[in-house]
Amino acid sequence: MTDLDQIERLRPDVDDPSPYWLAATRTALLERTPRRSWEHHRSRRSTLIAAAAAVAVLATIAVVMPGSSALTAAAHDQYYYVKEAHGGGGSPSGTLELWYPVGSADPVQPWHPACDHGAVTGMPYRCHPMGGSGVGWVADYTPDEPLGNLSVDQFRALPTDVDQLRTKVYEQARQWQAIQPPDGVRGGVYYSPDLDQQAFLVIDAGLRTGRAPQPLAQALYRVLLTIPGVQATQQATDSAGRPGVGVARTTAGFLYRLMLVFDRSTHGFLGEAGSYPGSVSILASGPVAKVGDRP
Amino acid sequence: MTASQAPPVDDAEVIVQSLTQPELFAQVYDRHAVAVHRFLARRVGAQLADDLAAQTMLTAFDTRRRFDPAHGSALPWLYGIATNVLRRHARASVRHLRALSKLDPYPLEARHDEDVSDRVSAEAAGRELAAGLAGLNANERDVLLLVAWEGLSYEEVALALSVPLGTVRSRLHRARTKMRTALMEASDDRP
Repeated sequence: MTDLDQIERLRPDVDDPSPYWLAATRTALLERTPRRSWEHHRSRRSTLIAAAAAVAVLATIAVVMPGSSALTAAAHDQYYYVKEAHGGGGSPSGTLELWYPVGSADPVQPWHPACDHGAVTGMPYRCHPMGGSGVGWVADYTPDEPLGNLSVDQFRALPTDVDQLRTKVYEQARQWQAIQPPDGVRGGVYYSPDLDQQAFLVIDAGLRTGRAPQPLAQALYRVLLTIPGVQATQQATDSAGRPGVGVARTTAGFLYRLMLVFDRSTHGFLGEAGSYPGSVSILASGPVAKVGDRP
Repeated sequence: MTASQAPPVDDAEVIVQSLTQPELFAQVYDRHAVAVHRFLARRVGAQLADDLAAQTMLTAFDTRRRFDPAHGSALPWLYGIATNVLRRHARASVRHLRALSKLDPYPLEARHDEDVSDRVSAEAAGRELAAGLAGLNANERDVLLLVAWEGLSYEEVALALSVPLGTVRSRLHRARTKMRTALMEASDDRP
């Protein structure tokens, strides 16, 4: 055995970095990208402070909102109002106002003349919760309630701790992969053989409902940034034409390059990017006391 | 818009593209952050490695214009940045090596067919190796461990440390000589 062999054997057996570290550092990296035009004038010190701040934010979320915590609903909130816009890919555009009982994923007063017939190109599966027979909606077997089917109360019960929420998302992604439907769509969640892409799609399924409260949407944004292969850009526009931070991921076998757009300052969810047929943007959302009220 | 999977591209191409699309640098992060962290964890322990590896990846992002695209993989370049970051924490690195010298260096290698006296001898040698590493100067130690622990070729070490190939060879030669001497002296001192 040579001396080099002996030194090699001395190599400490170390663990991989924690997913938390990987996520926090990746977030710090991606969140620095928009400031490139003036960034190289910044000092190393400010660079490190920015990275530390990103870590601190995640740590604060973890401490203040442990996994079991729920986002408390105000007692008078009986309904959750969502106003969404549909567009992109040449499909008919339009807006839809929905009032969801906080304990249900089915809106009380949906309105769209085409919904019951699945006739609006690009948005049939959006119609199914309203009682139609939307193409692509498979409801016979669900291993777990998909994010796209959750009520506002159920969304509020999800952890906003990034690590725990990420675990939840990936658990669901694995479940969806295990039951790949023949048409590639189940419960509003597209199938991908790529686990990371499947996780991306699971998050999209939740956010595009508009029923994920702001703190959860912000946490899902941070989870998105931890998914390997995602790309972020500051120059994105949602299907309603609003600029924001775009987070996208592309993989083989998925028809469209799906991009989710978030508010640049709050990281609340704005909508899907306009290039996606049937893309949805959330124009307004929030708790209200009764059907017909708007926040 | 159909989206076929983009063909895999090497680090150099990604880094060049990231000059105009900074977010693409995340691909380099995804490929190498774990390796960089593990490299630093071996040198200073996991806790400090968290900080140093984050510094390394952010520094890499800031200085990616300096990456020479003629080199396909970014990993040697990242090791070089990590080594520079490590230099600022040299005392921590030496402290970590000294701590290693107090541990059983081969905890998982107590083979049943191995003679007990051989194993004891190997463990003692391991501790002395760790102490010897702590006694090298930083230049020699960096070269030696990039070769022995990270498996880099001499050319990759030269690239990582921005030194000529001849310098790599001479530093490695000195480091190995010192290590052999330290081992022999320790062996002579053992009863």
